[in-house]
Amino acid sequence: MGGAAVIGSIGTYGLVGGLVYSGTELQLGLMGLGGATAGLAALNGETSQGDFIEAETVGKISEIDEVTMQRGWFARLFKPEIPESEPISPEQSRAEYLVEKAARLFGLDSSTYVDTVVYESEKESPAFRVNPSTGETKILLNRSVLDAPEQKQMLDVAHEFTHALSWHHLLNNVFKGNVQAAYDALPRFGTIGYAANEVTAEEIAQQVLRIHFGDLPEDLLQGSENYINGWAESFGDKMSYIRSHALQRTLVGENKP
Amino acid sequence: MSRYWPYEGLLLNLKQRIPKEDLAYLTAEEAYKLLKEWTEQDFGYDVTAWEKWLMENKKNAIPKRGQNDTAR
Repeated sequence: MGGAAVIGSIGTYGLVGGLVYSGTELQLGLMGLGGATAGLAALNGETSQGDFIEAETVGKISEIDEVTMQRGWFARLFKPEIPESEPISPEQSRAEYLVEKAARLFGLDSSTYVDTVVYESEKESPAFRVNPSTGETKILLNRSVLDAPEQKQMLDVAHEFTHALSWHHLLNNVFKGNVQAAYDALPRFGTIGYAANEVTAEEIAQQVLRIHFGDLPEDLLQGSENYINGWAESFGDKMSYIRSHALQRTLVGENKP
Repeated sequence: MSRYWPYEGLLLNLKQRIPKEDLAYLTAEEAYKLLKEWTEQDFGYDVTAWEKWLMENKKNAIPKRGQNDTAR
């Protein structure tokens, strides 16, 4: 086991739990405890949560003076250094960085429009999501985004960020903060409204990248155009109608399959 | 909104691979209905048959998983 700590006594035994690191101070506390097998186990980091050590060990530990308590092992034992938050993976950090970078391409601060950025390596595609109860917004990025060349990354993330801008507009300007009504107005997959949103988001993402980076690489542009055409072709003659849509003209009434 | 290509999204929905909280979610029945409507074909719930037909007949149906298409 990684170690244990004496956290109290039950009868003639002390209950071991939490984390302990063996060191000089601990040895001072436990020396001379004849037969304190469990105490030695604690010293060696061999005890685990729920184990017992002899009560004498608990008593000896409690007699350690305050100076000793404030440093080294005891300091860690009684004032453990608990990190403020869970460690963040490099991919998660990268995902958050990319969303902020994309927002900056729009001259905006991502935190105004996106509450959470989540990296999900195996997700099928990047996504923008809204919690229908709270209105909390989330951008999910997957491995394919993080593995892509830089401008492709920015195109993908700018696309999702455009959805976040659309939602912000829809919620605050169209539905005056009514989360449920705004959510219900979001078009569902397979509708012309969904297609319009996808095409619009992709075109805006393209445009933003052009402003900052100039002409897009041919293969990147071709892939992006194929995506747009894929949606537009699904609605045949309505293609020009879809492509002429401005940012967030949600097609209320045409949003169910 | 997820960035699925149109037919990619329908096939994933046919397989029920898209979570319900995603706006791209459809029931398998809805996905099947749209596949029939968009293609004027009918392969039922046979995903493999749909994939084969789409690859052969719809240029932009499903993303090519190249370097610049990976995320679609």
